[in-house]
Amino acid sequence: MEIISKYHVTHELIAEERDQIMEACKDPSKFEVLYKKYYQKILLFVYQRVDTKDDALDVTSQVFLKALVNLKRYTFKGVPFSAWLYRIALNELNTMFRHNKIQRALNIDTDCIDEITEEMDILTEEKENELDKLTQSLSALPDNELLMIEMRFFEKRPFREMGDILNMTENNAKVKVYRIIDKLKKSIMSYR
Amino acid sequence: MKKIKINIDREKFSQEEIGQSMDFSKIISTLPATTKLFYKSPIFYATVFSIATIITVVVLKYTMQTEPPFINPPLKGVNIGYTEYTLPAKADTVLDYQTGSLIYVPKDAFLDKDGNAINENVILKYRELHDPADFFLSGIPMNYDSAGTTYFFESAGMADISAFDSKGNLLFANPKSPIRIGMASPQKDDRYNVYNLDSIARKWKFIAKDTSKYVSATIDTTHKQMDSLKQFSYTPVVKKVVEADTDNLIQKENINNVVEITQSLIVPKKANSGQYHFKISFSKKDFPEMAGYENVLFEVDSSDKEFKSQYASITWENVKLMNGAKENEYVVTFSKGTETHSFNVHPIFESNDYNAALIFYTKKFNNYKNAYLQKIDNEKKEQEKKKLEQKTLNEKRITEMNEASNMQMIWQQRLAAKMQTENIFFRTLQINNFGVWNCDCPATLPQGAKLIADFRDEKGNKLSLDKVYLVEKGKNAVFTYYGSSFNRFQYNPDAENILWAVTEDNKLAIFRSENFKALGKNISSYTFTLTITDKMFTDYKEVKTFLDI
Repeated sequence: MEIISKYHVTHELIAEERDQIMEACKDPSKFEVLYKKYYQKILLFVYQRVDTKDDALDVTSQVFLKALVNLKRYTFKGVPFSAWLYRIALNELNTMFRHNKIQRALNIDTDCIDEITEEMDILTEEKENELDKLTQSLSALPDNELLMIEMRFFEKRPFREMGDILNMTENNAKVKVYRIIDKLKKSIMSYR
Repeated sequence: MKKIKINIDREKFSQEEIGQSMDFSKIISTLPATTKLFYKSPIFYATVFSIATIITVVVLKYTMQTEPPFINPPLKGVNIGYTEYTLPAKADTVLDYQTGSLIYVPKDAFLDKDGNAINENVILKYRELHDPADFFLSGIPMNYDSAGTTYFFESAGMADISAFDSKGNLLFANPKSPIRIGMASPQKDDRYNVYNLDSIARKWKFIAKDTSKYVSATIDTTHKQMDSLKQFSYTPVVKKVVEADTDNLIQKENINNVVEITQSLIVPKKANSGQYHFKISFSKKDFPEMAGYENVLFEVDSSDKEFKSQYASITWENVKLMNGAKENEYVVTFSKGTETHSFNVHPIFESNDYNAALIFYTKKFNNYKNAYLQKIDNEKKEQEKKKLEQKTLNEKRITEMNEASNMQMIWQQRLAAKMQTENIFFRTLQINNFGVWNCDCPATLPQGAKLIADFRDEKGNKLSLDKVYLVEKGKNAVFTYYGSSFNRFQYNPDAENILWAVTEDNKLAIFRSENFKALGKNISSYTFTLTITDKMFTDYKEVKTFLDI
């Protein structure tokens, strides 16, 4: 049965990526193509969650090393290879945070604030105050919920991709995000 | 409780930083040995251990002997030659190069391997590469990896510079006394950046944005500020700092912002006891100017004569609120069955609600105003800081120019004179280390057609090629396809293309532009029949003529 990737547009690209993975299983030096293809995405994903560029670079190197070591275990499930890499990155980050090896950071781009407050349907007062309340509420969220908000609003990921990375359906990702939004809204209102 | 550090608008990774941090060789080098060898079981290891050891030693030896150098001229016996200059290390010198370029070598520009300044004469080797034939013959890799994508350099000229002492020992550039090159460039665009080839890391390093205009003592990436100094009146340099009229700009912005604030919020009005009014539920998202108020009522305009008192006793099925023609004016439409009435209304508040609304409006307005004033104040401070920085920078440049040696001034004056009289366009390079320096613009592979390529000679025999070179006329670049990418060969069918390769027996094999024209636009594979010349080239000019590029 032919498996169609959810993100890849053409059969040619799907076949190409699968071939690249198979070739890299035989010869690790062939992994370079995938490394180059996904390096920036993984680096930025990691950087969104850590404090310094050095931390992001170190973790990203570890992610690709682990991916290469475990490449034999990878099974193609119709989602881009990047989803697997993101999961490795999440595991690596969680391990680092748990052992206090790196600082967990919440990195907010103020350009994203309007979108998130609009989603919450709350009146935006002075931006500074609003930002303060939002950051307090966000940092109080459990890790898995903060992760979803970051993915949706700070990284602008589609629900489908979030589902692929977090191993859930697109609908489930959507429902969860809106529940977290409600929770955030209540939290922000409580500060008023 | 978890500790999270909050960062607001933190500095992002630049594309250059991403490109430079990418290092697959580091990943591979840290890969555990067991992962590198996938198929080999313990039994297999035991069986072949001794043989593998021998083979490994032999292979390593062979590899060490035969691994090609990073800069590897592909056509044996032909290369772009260097010009050698012998010059005193303890004096300033200006060197002329055949292309019109001028090289300024200050005293103490050379260091030995221990970092000591050289006292005696040195031999400086220099060459420039300007066109695709030069790039090909030099064997300098012209691909550049940035953020996971491989680009090919479209060049505005390269300089290859090195120095030796009288015993032939390699010398090093002194960063405290850098050599400056005014490189004559046929390309006049300002889109070319400066890169330096790191032959140890085997990759290009981004150095600076374009330096396309002629600038003075230091390499100046913000060359526009130096345009006023083009006439080179050095003794003394006229001090000129352009002051922007920032105060006026800020004042204007301030006024505009306050106007915007008042427009983004309705001003509360008291109900008129003589007019009908009613409450309507509306979406705060659709009417953000009323979103913060409680108990907003809508009063029928006294000018609207369509409203009749009996409408107040009807239970309407639908009510729709829309913006009116003017600010603070709205249109409400009541409908029931086929009956529909629209009236002009405006938002009002009854006594206590009015007071609350007024407090809300005043607070909000003041908050906005204070925030804007603060913002403007910050911007003003920032502007003043920048102005001061610019002033300091200008002072520094002027001091540098005034303190520069006579020979440097001669170099600058000669560059300026050449620009004016010979119409030569210069790019300036400041050499902090010897090697290859490049004024380039990264370009993607040609677009338009992609196919699986097969390369054969005129007898139909498959050619064993490491790589083929493609040139698209009009682009100052060589696109190199390696064997592994022959099945993803890209070219622009609308351009004039030339392709060639070097055969195993060091002959040039070519596929000319007229042959390209015979290729269909939508083919998925193609066998390129290359014409192999028996001519043995000894000079780069012969190669250029043969390739006709």
